[in-house]
Amino acid sequence: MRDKQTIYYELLLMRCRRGQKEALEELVRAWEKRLFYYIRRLVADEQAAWQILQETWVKVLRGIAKLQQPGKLPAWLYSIARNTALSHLRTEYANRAMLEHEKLQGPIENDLEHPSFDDAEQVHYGLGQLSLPHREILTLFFLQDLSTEEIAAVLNIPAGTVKSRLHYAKRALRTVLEKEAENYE
Amino acid sequence: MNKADKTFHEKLLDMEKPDDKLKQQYEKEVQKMLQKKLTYLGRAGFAALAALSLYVGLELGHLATKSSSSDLMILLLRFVVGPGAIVAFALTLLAAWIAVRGRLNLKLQPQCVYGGVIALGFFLVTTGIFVYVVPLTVDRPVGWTSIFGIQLALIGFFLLVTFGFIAVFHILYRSDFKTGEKLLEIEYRIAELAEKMETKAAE
Repeated sequence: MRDKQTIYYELLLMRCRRGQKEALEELVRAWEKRLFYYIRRLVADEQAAWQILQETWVKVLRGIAKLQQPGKLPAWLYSIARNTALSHLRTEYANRAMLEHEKLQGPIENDLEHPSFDDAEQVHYGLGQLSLPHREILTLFFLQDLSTEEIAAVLNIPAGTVKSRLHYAKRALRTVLEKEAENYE
Repeated sequence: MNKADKTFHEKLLDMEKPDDKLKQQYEKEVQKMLQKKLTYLGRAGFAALAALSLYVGLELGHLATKSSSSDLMILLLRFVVGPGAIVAFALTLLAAWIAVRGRLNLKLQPQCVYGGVIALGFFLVTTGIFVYVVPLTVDRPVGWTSIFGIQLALIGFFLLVTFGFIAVFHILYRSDFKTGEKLLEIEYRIAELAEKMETKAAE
């Protein structure tokens, strides 16, 4: 039997293609909070984030008929949101920041165990202290909508890079949170 | 949902506290998003379409009410022009409404306008056959007019058959779409039920 979520996405997509206003509203309702959270981690200005989200929906509306695989809906939505945000931030600047960040990383250690980040408030705060690439990948990771391969597709990087970047991002987040805890004590 | 029942990512999403004013503004924009603002030229186009379909509607309405004979051809004509007039008036209302508002609902209205124009074309062709071509061929089959009439009738019937095919394919496509949607709904409910049963069994 197919996954319930996949069936739901397929159904929603079919209704959206038929032009049902309710289906489009349902799509917006179901995803706006997550997409806004993600966009908000990419851009500092809240007003700009709302504008980007709005532009994202316009693009979604235009392209929804072309989306053939309903299972790819989450990755597709995040990709559109990311591309819209990046063009807002000036793509060149963002890409340079990403490349420079990659060069600074050392070799990856074997331990890929997930550190336990169970306090949402702390993680939310910590995300704000990280660099853009770390913040972005951790946001996608914590929102739990995408697999490693899907995150790779959204970020336009290989799955291996996703794993290594996630590893460093988690380490960076842990450092931020530990420092914060020390300051608090 | 209780705060304790929330998953980590739901709690994380709740951490984001957006500005109410900005959010309201965004929500208004999203509502407007489904509608495209028309240019003056676009509005004029819809106004022209409204005027044209009104004229066609009045003409077809006139044809439908004018004849009072029990002749089979006239009955057939009424059978065609009556619904044609209704479609024309419906298209007039829709086009006029779009022209007055200056906004086009991107998802539904273009489909309705295209559908209306195609349906109106069908009724016009059919009316043309009944009003002009058939009398020319049947009533006055003299010299070149009868040959011309037959040719026109053939073209007309070809167009009618084409319209018929388009309509049938459209209906089939729609019904296939609806069936697919119903099947997906059933599949979704089954998956939902299976999930509930699994949860119950685990408890």
